[in-house]
Amino acid sequence: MSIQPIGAVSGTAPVAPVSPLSAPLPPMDPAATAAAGAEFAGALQNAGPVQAAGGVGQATVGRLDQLQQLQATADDLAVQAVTGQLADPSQYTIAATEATLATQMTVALRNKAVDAYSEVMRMQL
Amino acid sequence: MSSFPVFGVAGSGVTVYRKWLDAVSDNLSNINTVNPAGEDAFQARYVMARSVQYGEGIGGAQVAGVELGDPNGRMVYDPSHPYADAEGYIRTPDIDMASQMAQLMMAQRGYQANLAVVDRARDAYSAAINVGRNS
Repeated sequence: MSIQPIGAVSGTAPVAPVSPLSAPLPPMDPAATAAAGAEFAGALQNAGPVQAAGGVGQATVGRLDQLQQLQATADDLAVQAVTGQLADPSQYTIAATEATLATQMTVALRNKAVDAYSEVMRMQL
Repeated sequence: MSSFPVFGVAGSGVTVYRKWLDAVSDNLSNINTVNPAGEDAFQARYVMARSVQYGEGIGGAQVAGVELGDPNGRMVYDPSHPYADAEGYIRTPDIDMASQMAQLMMAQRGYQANLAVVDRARDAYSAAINVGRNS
């Protein structure tokens, strides 16, 4: 069986030129535009990652304030301990333990947040 | 509101038992204190512990007050004592050494128990904080 040669293109219809608009476009409805914008903004607000990133940052700042207070308490008790004003050394050791744990937790949370951010930034687009 | 409420609770327990130790120490140091028959004897100190905000879910203990023992004490016949009255009696405190030693042990163990709670809580919280660190 032999291969049939390709025949010539019989002919194409000419492309019709774009017809001009018969009437001007209606103007944009400001109310509808505003509604669509509001809907988009609402969707942005509800988008989990955006809100969570700000939440973690603000929460970390709040935790740092709390942490500073705990450290100040422990420092005060340490001064009282060395000046002999402290009735019970356990008051200082307990406060120092709490401050240490709070520091470790804040650092752990901050590291987790930074890890998550880095992971997202490394994503190939 | 602290992230680690157990430290506040255990710390309040430690304080209560420390005050109990102070009271027992006061009682033992005055167990041979002699007063003239016409005066009150040294009154034993008894620490009264109460729970903090009972029933509201916030734990901890506090010292509600210190109760005093019998001011009459015990009359002891000791005519050679400088404080002896005309009949030869002096007034000694009504403190039982065995009871005080038992209280001393209870206070010491309670103090240590609350500090053990602090230590265990620290270990537990550390484990929680370090979850997933080695991944």
